[in-house]
Amino acid sequence: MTCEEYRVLLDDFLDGVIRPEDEEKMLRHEAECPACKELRASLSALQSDLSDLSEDVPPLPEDFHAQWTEKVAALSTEEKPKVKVRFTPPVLRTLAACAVLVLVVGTALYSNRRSSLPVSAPQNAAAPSIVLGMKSEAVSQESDMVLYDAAPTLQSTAMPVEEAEEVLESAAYEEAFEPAEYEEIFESAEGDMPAAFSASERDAGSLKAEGAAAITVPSAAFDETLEHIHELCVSLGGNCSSQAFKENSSPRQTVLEIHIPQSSSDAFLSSLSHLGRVTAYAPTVEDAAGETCTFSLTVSEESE
Amino acid sequence: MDDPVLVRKAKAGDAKAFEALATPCEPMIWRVCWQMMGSREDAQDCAQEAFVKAWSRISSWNEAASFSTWLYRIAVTCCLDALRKKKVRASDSVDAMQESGHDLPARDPGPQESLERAEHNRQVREALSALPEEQRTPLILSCVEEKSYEEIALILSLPPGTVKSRISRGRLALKKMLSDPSQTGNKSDSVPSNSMKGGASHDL
Repeated sequence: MTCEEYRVLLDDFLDGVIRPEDEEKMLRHEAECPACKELRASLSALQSDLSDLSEDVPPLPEDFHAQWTEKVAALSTEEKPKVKVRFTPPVLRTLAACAVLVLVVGTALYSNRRSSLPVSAPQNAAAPSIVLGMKSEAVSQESDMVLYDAAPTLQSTAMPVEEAEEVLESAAYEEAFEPAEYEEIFESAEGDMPAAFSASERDAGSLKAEGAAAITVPSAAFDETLEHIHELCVSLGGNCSSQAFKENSSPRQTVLEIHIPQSSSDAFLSSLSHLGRVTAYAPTVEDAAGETCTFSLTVSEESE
Repeated sequence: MDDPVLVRKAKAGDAKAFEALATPCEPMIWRVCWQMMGSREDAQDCAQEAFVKAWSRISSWNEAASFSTWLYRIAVTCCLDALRKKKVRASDSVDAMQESGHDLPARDPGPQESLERAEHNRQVREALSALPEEQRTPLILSCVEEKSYEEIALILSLPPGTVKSRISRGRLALKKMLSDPSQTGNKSDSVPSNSMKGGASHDL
């Protein structure tokens, strides 16, 4: 047995799922390798240290129950706010699929402070709300103009080896990234993402499509999911700056342009996976400060 | 198994039914929030937020997981979000607590053994909080909360294999940190942890 093989069994040992015959093998290896023996001793002690922490918990605060039940009661007497989903009018959907879209967003709320943000899409209900297009390309520091065009930018970001291994071993990858299906996802969205997803960039199965994400949701929950995604973006301090239906697509398909703080990217993915089957997720860090990531999220209806 | 009547009523907007479903989960949610956040105040905020969020999203619970697992998952997400938003590591909270003398059972007068154990726990907790988040959370859920890989996979939306590898890497990183306390910013060396006694003869 090599030290590497020993390490695999060591995890099983620490998790308490080691088979007796494997433990025998470990003992035989330890007789020849004091370093591995020492490693087991120290990791076993660490395991015990960590278990001890479970006892080191202060008691539940006395008012804990009263606090949350009061909040729940207060919420339940209020009407739940409806999330406004901004739908692109049909005529403009065509424009969005064809060319660069330029929108003027109202003046007052896009002050210097706001225009200094990396992506200035509306973030509250009072702001002018309709923003079309696929990607914010430029934000003027001086004026209140926000320019949008139809092509998301792709950026190459290196993926650490460990992360790549995790993606490759993930069930989601195995299920979702059959090359043919991967190709299909982006081909079907090609009308909405013309330049960005050229064949070279979306090398099938290679996860090279930066700036894109895709989720497949049950047909019955399609509209509800779109609302949830809008709500989710806002709750994470981001926004959804555009929503474009893919015309005549069956199953239905919608592309959302998402902007969220980089720090919330994992939380977004985690919540997204509640809503359906996430088949791609590669947000691109958009701004120089690395604080906001942007991506096109293709929401597809599950085929019957 | 969740009571189907309570589930149906809660999903239909019955706050009392929701309360009946959620109340038994309070100790579990409080515990994980405390383990994740390391301070009473932050744990309380996150735990409260988890219950309120669960209520506001009860209609989206698809019942694939039990109510308690779903709520647990929301609580973990609340903690992760809070840690990210504040950009404060749990260790900072622990330090702040200790500086202010709050939430420190170890500082209470007591037998020497109790004091040493508390100090020992503090060191482990501090090292734990210095781990990268992707390792820390699975490690807390596994080794402290004693959740199975399958449960953790469900809570964190990760494949079980990924959970296992992150825990494995987390253990080794934690051992390394405890062997070299300077890596965690731990200035205290009064009570060596059991796990610090093991040599670092393996190049990890």
